[in-house]
Amino acid sequence: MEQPAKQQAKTARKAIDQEVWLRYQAEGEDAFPGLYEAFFDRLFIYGCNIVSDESFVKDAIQEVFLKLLERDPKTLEIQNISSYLFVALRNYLRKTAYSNANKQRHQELYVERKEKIELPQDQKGNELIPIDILKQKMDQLPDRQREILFLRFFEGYDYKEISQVMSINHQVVRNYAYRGMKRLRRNLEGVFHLFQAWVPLIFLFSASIEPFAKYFLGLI
Amino acid sequence: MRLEKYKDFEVEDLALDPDFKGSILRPESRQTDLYTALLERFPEKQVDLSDARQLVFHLERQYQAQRPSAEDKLDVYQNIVQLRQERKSQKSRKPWRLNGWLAVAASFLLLIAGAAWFFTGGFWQENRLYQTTYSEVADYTLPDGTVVSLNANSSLKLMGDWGKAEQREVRLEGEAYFKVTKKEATNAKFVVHTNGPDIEVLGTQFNVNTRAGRTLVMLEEGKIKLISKSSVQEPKIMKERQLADYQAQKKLIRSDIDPAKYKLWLQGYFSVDELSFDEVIAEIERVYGVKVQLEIAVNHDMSIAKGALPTQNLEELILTFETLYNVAIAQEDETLYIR
Repeated sequence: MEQPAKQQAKTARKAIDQEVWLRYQAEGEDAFPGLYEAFFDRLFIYGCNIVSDESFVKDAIQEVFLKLLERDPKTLEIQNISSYLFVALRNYLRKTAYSNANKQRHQELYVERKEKIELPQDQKGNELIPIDILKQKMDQLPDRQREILFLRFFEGYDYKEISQVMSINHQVVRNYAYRGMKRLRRNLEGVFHLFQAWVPLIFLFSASIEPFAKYFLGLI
Repeated sequence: MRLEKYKDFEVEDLALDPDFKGSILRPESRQTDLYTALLERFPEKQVDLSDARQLVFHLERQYQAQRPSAEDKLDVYQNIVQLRQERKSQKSRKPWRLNGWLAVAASFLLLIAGAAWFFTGGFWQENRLYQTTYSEVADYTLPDGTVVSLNANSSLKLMGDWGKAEQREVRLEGEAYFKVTKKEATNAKFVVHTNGPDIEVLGTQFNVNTRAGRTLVMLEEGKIKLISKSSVQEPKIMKERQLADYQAQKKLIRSDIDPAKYKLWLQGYFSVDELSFDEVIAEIERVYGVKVQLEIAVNHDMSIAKGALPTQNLEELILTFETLYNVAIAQEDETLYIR
């Protein structure tokens, strides 16, 4: 019963990608805005899971699209446009990050980010763990595990496809996806339990000092 | 019912499953009831299911938070359009190019020179050394029809004049797998010279691995004779499925080995089973041309680890090595730091 649903969902996303790509192939640069719209966010998030410098990711995406624009779309034989773009971005980021010119700037490919990221509350009021703590936990994953998690979880790639993008064995990919998820779960569990235990305590604490505070304030 | 496939799923597998994710994040879709269906089918897994649900929920939020801002999106788009215009106008100024006729004449001359070199025998003379570089495995057919697979960073040199001599002799550095063709008419021997013993062959398939101070010969099929450099030792006839292990003064012969294990490198892997941890490190350095720095102490588990490591892809090697030895590896240029 689930099988057709899955097939449909999976091909639906791919079908949209494919449609966008075919239109670009047929109409050339005129159809570029559609292509850009379909992929910019995804490429950006993927890039941010490879390196931590956002402006570096933006530069890289810019170059990837420019390279694509320079070529005649009719001569390009691309089976899967999303993995083509992911591979291009990944290669560019890794090449540039490791090259000497950028050595100082990106000595560490991925640095844990400290600043806080704001996010509106979930409509069900599900906001349990602050997003910056979530991000911090994510940053603690090894680089490749984080990359694999994105492709598997967010893009819904299967392990074969991931192994083609990252050019590593698909068994290794499966193993790493599992380990990444396990590690994330462990990391999050720590926070989660801590959080659940502390929230009522804070209320209790503030409630219990309230009368005293009032009393002292009243004195002044 | 497809639900059965979730029977042995762990929390992590569930969270990684696209169907499961769909049922959590897109409740309006057709997969709505997967989560509830799983709850009904496996009530004992209620805690796992809810854990997986939490995990999916938090991970999705994390990715959504990473979405770029609208300004970023517009910014990059405008850059692309602008740069595209600039580069287009640059393109119209064409760079220096060979004049059409000049190009034809030049390539014709080159062709003639190449052909002359080929037919006067220069090509054959020069081609007597077969060599592979880091992480490259290559198959060569020697002039007599013998097929040799050369492992990474290895070389095979033809000795003497192969056209006339009765004996076919080669010198090997590194590792190679030989399929020697038998010369029925002349019964010409095939000899492999190594730093260890010399190997004399009639027609057979075998693997030779010359590491620093150690030579391993694995005979898969046929018969070969090992001739030690020191005249004290008698030449040794090896039988099928035997492994000869020559170290400085020692010689060890083992029978009934599994040839596949010693041929793993033909598929792009090498087995660590027979090697000490130091030898594994040395092999990685040899195959990939990298430097390995140990920043941790070698423990017992590491010296008895069993498995195979890839020889073609450094990234895959790092992943597999980390898993096999339970360590972390950091790469800086040509150096791997094991932590």
